[in-house]
Amino acid sequence: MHRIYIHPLPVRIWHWLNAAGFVAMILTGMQMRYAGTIEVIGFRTAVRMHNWIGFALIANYCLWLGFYATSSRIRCYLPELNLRKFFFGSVRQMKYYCYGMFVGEPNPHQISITNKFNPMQATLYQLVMVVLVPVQFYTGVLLWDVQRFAAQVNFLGGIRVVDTVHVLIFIFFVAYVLVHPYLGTLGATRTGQYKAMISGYEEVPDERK
Amino acid sequence: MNRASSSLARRGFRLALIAAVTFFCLLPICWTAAQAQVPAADTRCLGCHARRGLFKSMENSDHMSMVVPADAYAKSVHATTLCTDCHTDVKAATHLETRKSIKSARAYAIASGAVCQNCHDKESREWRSSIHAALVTAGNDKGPICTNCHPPHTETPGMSRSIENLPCKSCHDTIFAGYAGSVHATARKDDKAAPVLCSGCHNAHDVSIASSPTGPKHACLSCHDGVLQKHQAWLPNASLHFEMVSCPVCHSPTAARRVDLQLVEGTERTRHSEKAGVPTFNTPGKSVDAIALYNLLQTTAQQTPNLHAALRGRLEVSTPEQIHQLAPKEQAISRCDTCHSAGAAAFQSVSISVAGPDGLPIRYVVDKEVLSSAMSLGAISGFYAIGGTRIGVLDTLLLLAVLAGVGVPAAHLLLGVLVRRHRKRRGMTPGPQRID
Repeated sequence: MHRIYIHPLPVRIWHWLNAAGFVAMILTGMQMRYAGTIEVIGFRTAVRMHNWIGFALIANYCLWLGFYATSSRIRCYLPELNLRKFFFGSVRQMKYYCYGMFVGEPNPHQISITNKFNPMQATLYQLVMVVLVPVQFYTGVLLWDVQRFAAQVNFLGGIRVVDTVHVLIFIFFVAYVLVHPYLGTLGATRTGQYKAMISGYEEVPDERK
Repeated sequence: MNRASSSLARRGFRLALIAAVTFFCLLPICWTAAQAQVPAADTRCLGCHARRGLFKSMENSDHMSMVVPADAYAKSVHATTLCTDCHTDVKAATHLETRKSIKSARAYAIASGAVCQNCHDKESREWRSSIHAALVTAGNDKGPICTNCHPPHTETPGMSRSIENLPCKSCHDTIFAGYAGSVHATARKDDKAAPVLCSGCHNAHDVSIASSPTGPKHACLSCHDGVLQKHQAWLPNASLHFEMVSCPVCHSPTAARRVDLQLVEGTERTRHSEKAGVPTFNTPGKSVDAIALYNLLQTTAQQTPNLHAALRGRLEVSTPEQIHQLAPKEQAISRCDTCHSAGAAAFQSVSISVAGPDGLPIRYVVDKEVLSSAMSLGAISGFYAIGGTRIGVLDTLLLLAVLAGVGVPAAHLLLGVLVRRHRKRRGMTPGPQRID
């Protein structure tokens, strides 16, 4: 095994703040959406927390965007636009997750500083970071002050449409935050990717060097 | 002796006759002396019209009283006004011989009421833009004209501004009953605040309807200065609440509430006017459902794309009586989950309103499920209360997402166990156990 510095400090700070923030947003969102059924912190407090944490997450996203926009590491988020390569890469990776990893086959994806995501991860994280998170922030800001952004809300079809988009992405992130911690255990070792997101270094099998 | 007594009786009868004639001849003079403020010219009119039982038969067989109560008139605001100033069609020389045919008391009141503007021009102009005038124009027999609220012969100074004699309650008695127990009425009785009578919110002459979007809320804010800032201190999106929720929804805490979906159109977002005999929805005995709403807006958009018809939702109190039962602010609703929770009472009643030919709102009952239907996503895009009107199918999706979030890791772990067990059973190397 050898170590690769895969997660620079700004990325690690962003990741853990983002993780904590998204969990808090989901919990406060649940409290708001199911007030009357769930009574933990109350509707009003949930709204205030949801607003403040939302803006903190937007600032955090800007930190992430600023780092990658000024770094060559952004290549891991740029789509390759090669569908054939993506398709066969995804099939290989799926086969590994569903069978190969249980029988000791090597991971078909070789991690590097500019290629840290396998084809499935790359697709998911591009979708999340380039589409879903910005759209969620945008719709969240519109809902934060519907009157201030009335023209944009109306252009998009009204508050109910904007809210539905916000809730649909919220539903996706609920599944995401449940599955993501488990996916973090599918590295070379159970805790390897967790340690990597703390220290920045990920252990990679030597034979894949 | 007999002749003497007979002469005495005749003399007494003559004296009595002379006294009676003298009394009736001098009656107008006596009246003038007693009621000095009534112009002398009017005493002649009162000579007849102050008598009880004077009436006129109308064409519609009704009988209209022609009596002017003399005492009350003498104390009225019009006591110094000549009768002929208002009754301009009456000529003293020909009045007794003239026999005018009058269709009805109502027609006479409307026709003769027009003369009020000679002196009360401002008030008359204001009245013409009122909902009362709209009722009269629409032919409503109960539409109030000047004399319905201000009896011209008995109106005293300040009479229509006293809570005991408010003219409004003669038609709006049930609303007045609600108002009588409100903070506005009781505060006044206790001398805790300035009087807030009907005209304080609805105006005295350019009376506006309670459901007017620019009506009561503006009336509230015109007295309750800085109230938005006070709400912003504790209420998230206070300004949005002010726009979407009428004040009595929270400040009349025991009232039944409903969501009113106003069908608006044009860039000014004015309420759609329904033509007489052409109902917006033709669903007798049934409530309007999400499909009917969708069809209405789709059809309107196709037929008149520039109309920009839309439904603007607003939470309001269901009945006029309850709107006026405003409680002290300490009793106002401040719990968010009163509305922001599933099954909230506020969203159990839904209506669609359009403006009728007379300007009054016409409401159609709407199936409450439209508020939580994905079908009405576009139709009622302008009204949404987090938690209270959430779309049901999204709850199902959320449940599926939670199941997927828990199920995918569980299924993957199980798959690992099954793969290893399968290889072991086949005598193959089961593969390495993953470690930390």
